[in-house]
Parts: sequence; structure tokens; C-alpha cells
Amino acid sequence: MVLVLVIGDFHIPYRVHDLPLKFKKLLVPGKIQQIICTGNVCDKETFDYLRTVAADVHVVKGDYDEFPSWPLSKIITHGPLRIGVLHGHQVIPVGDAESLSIVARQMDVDILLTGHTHRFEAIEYEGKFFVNPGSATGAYSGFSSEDIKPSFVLMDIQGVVVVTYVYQLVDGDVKVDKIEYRKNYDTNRVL
Amino acid sequence: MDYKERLTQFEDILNTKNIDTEPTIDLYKFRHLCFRGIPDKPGIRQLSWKILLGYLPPDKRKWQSVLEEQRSTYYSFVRDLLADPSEEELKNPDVSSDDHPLNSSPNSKWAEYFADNSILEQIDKDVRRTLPDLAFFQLPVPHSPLSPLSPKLEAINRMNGARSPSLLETLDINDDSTSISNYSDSTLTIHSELDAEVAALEAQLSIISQPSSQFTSGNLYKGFSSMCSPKPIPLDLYSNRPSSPPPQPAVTPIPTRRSIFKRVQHLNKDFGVRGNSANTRPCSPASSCKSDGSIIRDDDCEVDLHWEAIERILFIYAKLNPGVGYVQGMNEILGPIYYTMANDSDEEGKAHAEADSFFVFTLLMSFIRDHFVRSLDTDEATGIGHTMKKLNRRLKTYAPDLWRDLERKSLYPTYYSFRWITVMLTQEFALPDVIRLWDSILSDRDDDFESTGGFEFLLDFCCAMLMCVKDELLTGSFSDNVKLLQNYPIQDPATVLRKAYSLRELRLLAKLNDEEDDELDEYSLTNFKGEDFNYYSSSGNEYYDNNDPSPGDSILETSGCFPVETTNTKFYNIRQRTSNNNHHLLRTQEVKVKGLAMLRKVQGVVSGRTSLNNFSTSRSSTTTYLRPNITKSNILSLQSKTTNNGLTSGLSLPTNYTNNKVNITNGMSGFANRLSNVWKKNITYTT
Repeated sequence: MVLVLVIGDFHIPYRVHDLPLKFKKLLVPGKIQQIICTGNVCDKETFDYLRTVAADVHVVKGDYDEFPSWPLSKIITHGPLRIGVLHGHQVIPVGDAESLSIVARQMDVDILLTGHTHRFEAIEYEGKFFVNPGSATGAYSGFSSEDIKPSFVLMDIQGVVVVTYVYQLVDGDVKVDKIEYRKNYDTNRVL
Repeated sequence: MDYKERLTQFEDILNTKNIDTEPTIDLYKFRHLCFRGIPDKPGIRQLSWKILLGYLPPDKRKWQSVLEEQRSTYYSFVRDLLADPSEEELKNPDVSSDDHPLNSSPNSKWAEYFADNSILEQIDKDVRRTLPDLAFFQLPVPHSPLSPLSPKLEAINRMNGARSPSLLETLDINDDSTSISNYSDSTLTIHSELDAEVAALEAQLSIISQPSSQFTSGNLYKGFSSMCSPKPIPLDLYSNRPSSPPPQPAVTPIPTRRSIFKRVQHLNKDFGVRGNSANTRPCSPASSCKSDGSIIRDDDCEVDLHWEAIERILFIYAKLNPGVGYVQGMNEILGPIYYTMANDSDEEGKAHAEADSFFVFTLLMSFIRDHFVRSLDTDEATGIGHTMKKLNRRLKTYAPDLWRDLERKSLYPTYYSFRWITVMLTQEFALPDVIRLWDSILSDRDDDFESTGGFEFLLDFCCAMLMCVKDELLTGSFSDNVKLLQNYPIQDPATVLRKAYSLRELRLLAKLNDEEDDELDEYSLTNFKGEDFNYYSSSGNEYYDNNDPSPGDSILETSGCFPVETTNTKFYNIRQRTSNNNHHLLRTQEVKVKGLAMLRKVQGVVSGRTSLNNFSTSRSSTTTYLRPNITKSNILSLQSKTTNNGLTSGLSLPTNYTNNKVNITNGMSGFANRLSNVWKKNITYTT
């Protein structure tokens, strides 16, 4: 039972100055085992903050990140599940399910985590799970005209089942939703 | 009574065959029998401890039902309390709950889960180190078909492919000759054998598992009824075993039993006692992909180690008793209990060792739980502070010179007896000795004292421990003494035990005569104020200084003779010689009440104001004694005389017992003596 926090697109300090207070209250150290950040952390201080929440932090480079050493994409394995992360600015059209699906097939992952659109999405498409945690701070994005709601995702991984909790800040209150994804083993598949 | 005789007595009491003729065990007699030690024959000690602590009722007919009930209670605890909230979510996807992992509200399952984790980590750290010298705790729990905490025999069957049936026999019927005397030999050899075989099985299984995985995932955990599944091998094995019991009614395994170990796995990533972690377990990857939605864990077919069983017990205890939680030291107490239960020769007893240990442990803890509650440490009436003070008082009674010496050096009981008392001597002696000591300690439980929790013998034994190293203590310095007491030199407890027996005799004799000198009542408590271990080094002689007003003065005051300040808190006992040469100390309140009344009467007589019918004949004689002599100094000297003979202080030391002179018929002391006779025996006074 591994709790993995998927979060990204902070844009601190350029577009927003800080995480919403309510989110900060939720993210107490000790409960989360791993953090996967989809990119655009933009700040060393924010990165340090992430490291205080959990010891194990995986970050990929977004288009506004200041750390050149971070990889553009990453694959993390949890038991039988392969999780792929990339920021998403490499994928055109932005946020398109088909294009992301191509990437997922290229990386050979079951779950693909991306960002960049600043909009929460969790789609199961062609047997693969695509999660976009949105923007943790609700920062401005050029791609969407409507208001950005701050959001992040917490995945509870147990073997082949992933229970996804989505935390969204709606009208100043934290709303939690739950989504379940189960990996299907295709026994006819030729390895 | 020689060993064989005692053995037969035990067997008579404990066997269930004569259940119709003698259904009930005489607990008093049984305790007395156990006090001298329980024979090492396998099976006896386990039953005896269960009876002594009240797990099994004295009525033998109820044993079977009680055991079943309690064991199923324990297993339901395991099922419920060890559950992961994440699995609960998965099992009930339709039930919408607002709970989420980051929930910090107190009624959230997740919040509770994380709070429990901190307790669990503490328990885990302690338990891994329980009795590190003994291999027993690092060995696996022998498989048993009777226990729902064992992995299914099927799983082992599957692994078992080509092995001979004899393996299964060794798995089930483990050493039945385990007794304390050969614990080191038998458990090590047989369990290491078992271990080697389990390891060999794993190697085999990795070859077998791939093709058979499709079969197993469907049938894996459905109890013995599914033995007729398309696997011929297990059936053969079972038919080949002439001694095997017929297939039991399905004892469904409890899936959550290992969940707590995963929760703390992160603590021991680098060094683990378990060489092969859950990832390399043979059943894992293929079996976890069941299509019908239930969760298969990797480690359902993994065997528990003994220390893991202990961890489970302690965790469940901590969850069920949030008031006391888990305190370091409980693992040490559980150690001998679990060790004894797990080495039962009775198949059923061994299978359910964990459940039985849990209840025996809970019962034992109910007596000593106050020692573990931090807030009671300085409490007057209970808690470890109180017990240590009690020990000190007892030491003062039995060995006053030693006591005085330790006081002088400021060597308070906290420095040495804390560990002795809280973990009941498990850290001072080797395990076999501890178990023998516990036979005596558990059987001397005093039912009358609810608050103190009994276990008086434990304190007697501690006093004996001190007295046996008396010489070294007297000649050593403070630091030497502390070092000595913290590494108790006498490793063979036989001598200390003998001394403890004699102390206990003394104590019981004293109790019989109502000389409760190490129980303080509220009068003395007001004297012993405030701080811990602020002992008055008072012996009886110092009590009656001229400065100390005595109750006699208060009477004089009331009668108007001498206005003297009184402290009502002083107390005194009347000692009296009966024909048996026993000393009686009356309880102070009774004495006070009666005494005041009688003394008033006497005073009345003395001052001639009242005429007492009873005393009329002697009036002239008493008045001639008293009237010309009523001066303050005289009264006090009167009292000092009576002090030595008739009235003494409450905390009387044994030395005072010999001071009493008999049959003093002259002077005021004689009068007081006869007066006390009146109080006691209610006879009319005649000269």
C-alpha cells in the first residue's frame, strides 16, 4: 500500500507566490511515501518543500524549470505497474489523448502522468491510465481560458490496483474524489 | 514432597479425564502446589499458568468452550484491527466514504492508521530485540492446520511437489519433547531443520509456479474442501500419511495477519531478519493478478516468525487498551508467556499459542498495568512508585540495617528495582530461571488486594535478592552498589528463592497476626508527605520524644488539665500479650476510638468525677495511684514508661517485638496493661 503524491505545475514564484494554505495543511510529512512531480516546479525552495513532505521525490523537467539536471521523462515501477512521467510540453497537440497514448506505448507504461495543461484529468484509454494532476497552485496557463482550480492527485497503489484520490480546491474548500484503476493482464499478449 | 509425587498431583489436578467426578479445581490448593514450582513435563506448565491467571476457569467442564470462545475472539481481533483502510476501500467500492489518506480528522480511518503506525514502529523495534540470545524468537511458527494464522497447508503442498510425505509430518508434529530443560537443544535442531526445508521448497516452487499459476489463483484460499481441485499431488500425499488427521473443517486463513509487517517494512530495509523479503516470495507475481477483483497478497503463504507473532499480540493489545498503549517492557513480559505457550506439547495448544498468549498476557497486565502508566508514577496509592516504596518498606522490615545503609547512601529503589518490578525479573535471570520464578510469583497472587495487584511474592523475592548480596552492598560504595544491583551477580536463583520463601513465611505470619507493617493507612500517609522516598529514619524509640504530643495529651486537654497542642495524626498501637505469646497490634483507628473513650473514663476515675460501676471496687486503689501524681512531667513519664511496655509506634520493627515485657503488674504500666486487656477482652476490671 504505497501512497504516491502526483503534483506539478507550481510556477512558483513567477506566476503564483505559494501553494494554497489548505493544501499545505493536507500535505503533512509522514503519510506519503513518494512524490512524483510532473514539472514546472520552477524554484529551489519549492523543491525543498517537496522533499520535506516525502523522502522519495521524482521530478521531470518542465518548460519553465530552473534545474537543468532533471530528466525529461522517467519511468517508475511499483510491483507489476509501470508508471511513466513527463511534463507534456513535448506532446503536441497539448493534452491530446491519442498523442499521449502514443507516448505511453513508446515508453511501455501502464500509467502515464503528465502536466502542462493545468487541468485535472484522469482517463482510462486503451487499457492505460492517464493522469494529469493539474496545477497545484492554480497558476495561469495559456491553454485554457477558464479559471484554473488548484488540484493534485494522491495514488494509493496496491499491487495492480490504483485508487486515485483527487484533491481540488473549489471555492476555497478542498474537494476529494476517488477513482479506481485496475491493470488488466492481457494473457493473449505476446511478450 | 518429592518430584514424582508432585508430578502425579499435578497430573491429577490437570487431567480432564475425571471430569465427572472432580470437575472443579481447588484453586487455593493448586496455587499452593504451584508455588513450589511447576514440573517441567510438557503440557503441565501451560495449563497451570492459564489456570493461575484466570484464563481457564477452575471448572474443567467449561474449558473447551472457554478456549474456543476466546480464541475466536482473538482471531476476530486480528481480522478487524489489522485491516488496511485502503483495502476496505477496495472491498466496498460502492460504499462512498469521504475518507481519504490525507484526512486528519479523528474519525478518519486513515488518520487512525497513521497514528497506529507510530505505535507499531515502537513495538517493532522492541520486539525484534526480544531475548536476542534465544534462537526461538527468530524461528518460524510451525505450521498447523488448526490455526487460522497459519498459511494454508495447500500452499505448502503446492510447493511440495516431489517431496515425501515425511516432510509434512515434521511440519505438523513438531518436537513434543520440548521442555525447559532441553529448550536449547530441541527447538534449535528441529526448527533449523524446518527452516532448511522451507528454503528448499522455495527453490522448487520457483520452477513449478509458472505453469501452475493459472490453476492456483482460482483455488488458492478456499479451505480444505477444495482439495479435490485438479491437483492430484496433494491428495496422494494426504492418503500416504497414516498418522495425519482427517481433513479439518476449513479454517479460513486471516488475510490481514501480515499487514502490520508491511507497514513497518521501511524501518528495516537494509537489515532484515527475513532474508527473503516479500518480493522474492514464490507465490507473488502471478497470483496477484486475479481477475475477479479480490486482493491476493504476496505473503499469504508466508510463514510467521515467532517475534512477528509477538508483534501482532502487542499491537492488538495496544489498540484495545489505548489507556496504557504500548510501553517498552511489555515485550519482555510477553516473551516468557509466549515461549511457554508455543512450546506446548498439546497440538491444539501449540496451534493457538498466539491467541492464548494474548489473553494470558492481558490478564497478567491487568494486575501490573499500573506500573506502565506514566501518570501514575508518582501516585500515592498505585503505580510503580508506590510499589517501589512498598519494596523499600518491606526491606526496612526484614533487614533494617541494610535498609539504613542504603538510605544513607541515597540508593533509592528507583535505581535498581524499577526493572526488577516492571518486567518481573525477566531481565535479571536466564529464561528457564525466569519461568521457574514466575511459577511462584504467579501463584502467590493475593486476591484481597485489588489496588496493589497482588504479586507480593515478587517483592519478597526482590528483598531476598538484596539480602543475599548484603555483604557486598554494605561494603561497597554507591556506584559499586548500583553496578552490582543492575547486573545481579547471583545467576542461580535457588539460594535467593529459599530466602524469599522464608521472608514470605514471615510476612504471612505477620499478616495472620494483623501486623500489617508495610501497608500504610491514611494516618501514616499524612506523615509521609509529598516527595518520593522521603523516608523518616525513625525507629520506634524515637517516636515518643518529649516534644511529641501523644493522644494522651489530647485527652488531658479535653478534660481541662493541660492545654497541649495535639496532632491527631500520631498513632500508636497497643500491644498485648496473649496466652499464645503472639503479639497483636490493633488497627490504629479502632484503638484510637476505643482508647479515647476508655482513657476518658479512666480520666474521669482519676479526677473522681465519674463513678464507674465496673471500676468501683478498685476505685480507691486507682485513685491512690494517680491523684497525687498528676503533674505534666509525671504524665509524660507515665507515658514514657508505658511507651516502653504498653504503647509503641505503628511502624514497629522486629526488634521491638522482643522488647515487650510480660505481666507487668506494678505501677502505671501494669495498669495500662490491664486496661488494654479490658479493651480487648471486654472483661470487668477487678484488682
